[in-house]
Amino acid sequence: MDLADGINSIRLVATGQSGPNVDSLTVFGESIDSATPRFQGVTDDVNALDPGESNINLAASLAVGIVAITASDAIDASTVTTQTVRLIASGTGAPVAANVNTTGGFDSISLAPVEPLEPNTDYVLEINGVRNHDGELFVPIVRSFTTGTNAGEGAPDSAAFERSVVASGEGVAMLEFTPDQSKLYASTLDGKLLRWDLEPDGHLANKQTLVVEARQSFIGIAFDPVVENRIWIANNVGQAGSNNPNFSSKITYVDIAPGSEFAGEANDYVTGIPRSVRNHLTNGLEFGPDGALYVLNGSNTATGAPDGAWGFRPEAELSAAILRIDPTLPPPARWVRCNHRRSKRL
Amino acid sequence: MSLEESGPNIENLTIEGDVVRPMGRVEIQAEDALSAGGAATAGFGSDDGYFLDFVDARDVSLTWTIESNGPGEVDLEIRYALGAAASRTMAVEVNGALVNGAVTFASTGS
Repeated sequence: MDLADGINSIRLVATGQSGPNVDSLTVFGESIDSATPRFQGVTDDVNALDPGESNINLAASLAVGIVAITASDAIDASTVTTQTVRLIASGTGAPVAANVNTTGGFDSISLAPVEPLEPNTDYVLEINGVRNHDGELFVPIVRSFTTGTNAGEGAPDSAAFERSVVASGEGVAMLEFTPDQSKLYASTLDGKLLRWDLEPDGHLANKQTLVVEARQSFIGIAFDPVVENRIWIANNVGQAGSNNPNFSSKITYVDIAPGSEFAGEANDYVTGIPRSVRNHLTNGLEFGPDGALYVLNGSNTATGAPDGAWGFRPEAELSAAILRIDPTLPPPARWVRCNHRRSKRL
Repeated sequence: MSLEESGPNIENLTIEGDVVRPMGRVEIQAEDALSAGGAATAGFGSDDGYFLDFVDARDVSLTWTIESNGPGEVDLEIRYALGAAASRTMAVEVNGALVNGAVTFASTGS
């Protein structure tokens, strides 16, 4: 039989009598690509979501990984839409309102229903139309499951919050109160520090902006417990893009000038920290009870070994690591540049 | 190559035969097909743990989706089990058009 160019449907139909138990369909042909990308199994946040699974948590979100990651197999995020990734209530045939997305590594798809699912209801998850970076269609998958009455643990009443927007419009990555609790500081994804006065009712006032290093991403900030008005920053090149330079992250501190004007001098304390091609960054930092500064540094890979979605960049000795920095020592005279051949203690 | 004596004047070389393109192969599980009719249910026993059982007689179908790189002729292979002694038939449609109205599935004995 002949297939048309592009997407084809092949249908097996009962003809007035029950049929056999069907396990799989295999298609052979010169126009068929054996390396067609595939998804892995579907999981929800409680159980493996296998065919016919029942009693799924009503608040479950679903995730679908892909079998192997090469540079070309990474998911093209623009093809992950509410049209290509759908959860359908079997009874009504209506799609469930949901947020769909892929990850920073472009190695899985997530679907989170906006509202909890209905109890004791059949649902069908369909993924059809998602492509990889080479434009190849992932083999579509269909998964059915039935919810139970399990509403999950949910949030205890005592931990309920009332949401109130106190500031918006900035790419904020981290918030930190000053040690005297008089101001709230924020770091941004475009190299700025923001600060506000804290009103007695918890609202913010008198927003001030200090551009420290444009085009950098300040992921984490922490106030020095000893040196007054010194704020430490996990300082990364950019945030977007897919080819950011390795060994480019820094730990920077800014001595904030006293007074009402928001000003300060930035000093790079540690430079040359490993960085991934994308958004695994030098992350949160916090002072420990021993007075040392602890920094979480992101991995260069998705799962440990170099992979295409992360530019085949291998791990280095200070990637995927917790770094301990003694802020009382003079900063290293040279860049700390660590790879598999050479390392230097901070 | 020349073997110890001068050779002829060569104009060209022609190799005759069919151009062989690599044969592609994609296997898609039944549970990744869209089932219709509400009677095809999952079960255990196949190599990957699941199959779909055509337990009803009418309006039951499985639809697989596959991408073809250009128009082309393909062969299909369906992995199945049929415990009944008598064979059964099913129809195959491609893109909504009937290709074979009575594909025979012989008994597999279990």
